[in-house]
Amino acid sequence: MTQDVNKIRVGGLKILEEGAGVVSSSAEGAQRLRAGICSPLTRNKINLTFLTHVAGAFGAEAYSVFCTEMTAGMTSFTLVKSDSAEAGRTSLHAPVCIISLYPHDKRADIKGAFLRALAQARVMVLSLASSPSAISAVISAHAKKRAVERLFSFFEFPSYDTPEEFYAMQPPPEDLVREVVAAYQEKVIKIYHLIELADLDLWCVSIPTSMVLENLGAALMALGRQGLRIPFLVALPGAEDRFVCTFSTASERQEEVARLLDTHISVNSQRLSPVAALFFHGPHFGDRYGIVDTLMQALERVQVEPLALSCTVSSISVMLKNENLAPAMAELSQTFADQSKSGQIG
Amino acid sequence: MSKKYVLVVDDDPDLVETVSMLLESKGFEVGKAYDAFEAEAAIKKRQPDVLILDVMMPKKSGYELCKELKENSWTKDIPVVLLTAVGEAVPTTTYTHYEGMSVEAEDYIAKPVDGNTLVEAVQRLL
Repeated sequence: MTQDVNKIRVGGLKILEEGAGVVSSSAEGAQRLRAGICSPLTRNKINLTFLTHVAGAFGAEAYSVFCTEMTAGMTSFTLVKSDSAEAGRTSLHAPVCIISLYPHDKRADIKGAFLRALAQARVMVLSLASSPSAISAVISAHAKKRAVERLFSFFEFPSYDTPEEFYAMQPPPEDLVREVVAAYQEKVIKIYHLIELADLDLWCVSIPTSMVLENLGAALMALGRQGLRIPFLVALPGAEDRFVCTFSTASERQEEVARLLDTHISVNSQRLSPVAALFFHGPHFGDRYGIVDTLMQALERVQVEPLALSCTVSSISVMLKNENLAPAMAELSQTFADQSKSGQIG
Repeated sequence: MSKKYVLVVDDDPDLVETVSMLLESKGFEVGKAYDAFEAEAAIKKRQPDVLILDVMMPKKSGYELCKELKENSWTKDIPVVLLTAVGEAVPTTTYTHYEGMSVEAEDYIAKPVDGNTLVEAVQRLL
């Protein structure tokens, strides 16, 4: 099956190679994410290149997936595994790469087409996440070539017409190292913006792993045809060979979303409402350690537990209950130096 | 009166999104490009009133693109604001102030970008 007609024009594609992915589950929720994953990695100056977390949907365990550079993969896995006092599940996957497509403009159809392209390439996905501009997938490095080829049959890009042209434009590995070297630490972490979106619905579905890309992709494309915007999306392995997928939509569209999920996924969905989304974007968020740990500590201080969270490209996205938005914003404004305050972004 | 058109070029898509939101909120029309080649194509289609250009981009840096634009009689008058992380905080980078000073950009803004500073720079160049 091919998709050469009606290609969607987007801005570009990014691939972060030479990575390791760790999948972890726990009954301890956000506490485990902070104390068992973020803090140990920060103490060891290990940067997260990708993170997804969903807390206790369906009354189940909390699930997390994170990526590091390949060289830090085994250390990270050992740290997380040894820190776990309970019988949680932790597994290491390497080598992985992170493919990001941008911009999605919050369009569900772009996210859906991205997933369908990966499904048609027969790619196993370790996790999915969206940033304000991009949709990202963590996949096996061995599947990169066929994933990129298939993405070119769904999307067109202004700077490259073929996968070969895309690869030719990629920076050599030494340049990537140089970019990472251009990281720095600050006493107070600067951010470009902290944007809040309130009064959303957060949907959660549990999908058999074998169906996740094709069916979720079809559902998102159908949502896109209805003009629905999806500012937040995360998917990661759950229990019993199923994927947990959470995404947010505007509250007033709940009936359409429920109907389309029922049509395309045919599983019971869970909806939480009202919820709020927070989006952080900052300099070198993609290559500095400790930023999400600082965020989690701030939320812990005001006893706010994120419902779901993702870090990809150079942004952090957090879903909270609406009632937690005000205390969270107050604390985060004290914790981070927001460069956009005077510029009133958003 | 038509809106002033600003083209934002950076290989960090989240940064492009952020800067675009800031400029749109101030009444500008914003174009987006994610590398120097895409920026060249966008400029050929429509010349921006101001070009905001990241320095560190793969394959062709913002310095290189800026130099080419300034050497071309069709594009030399486009005001360019270079966004640079080059500075005291990142002494290990290969992009140097010396290289930057040899490029005739109208303004330089250090990352992280302060919202007011960026808007003021754009308004000053119009």
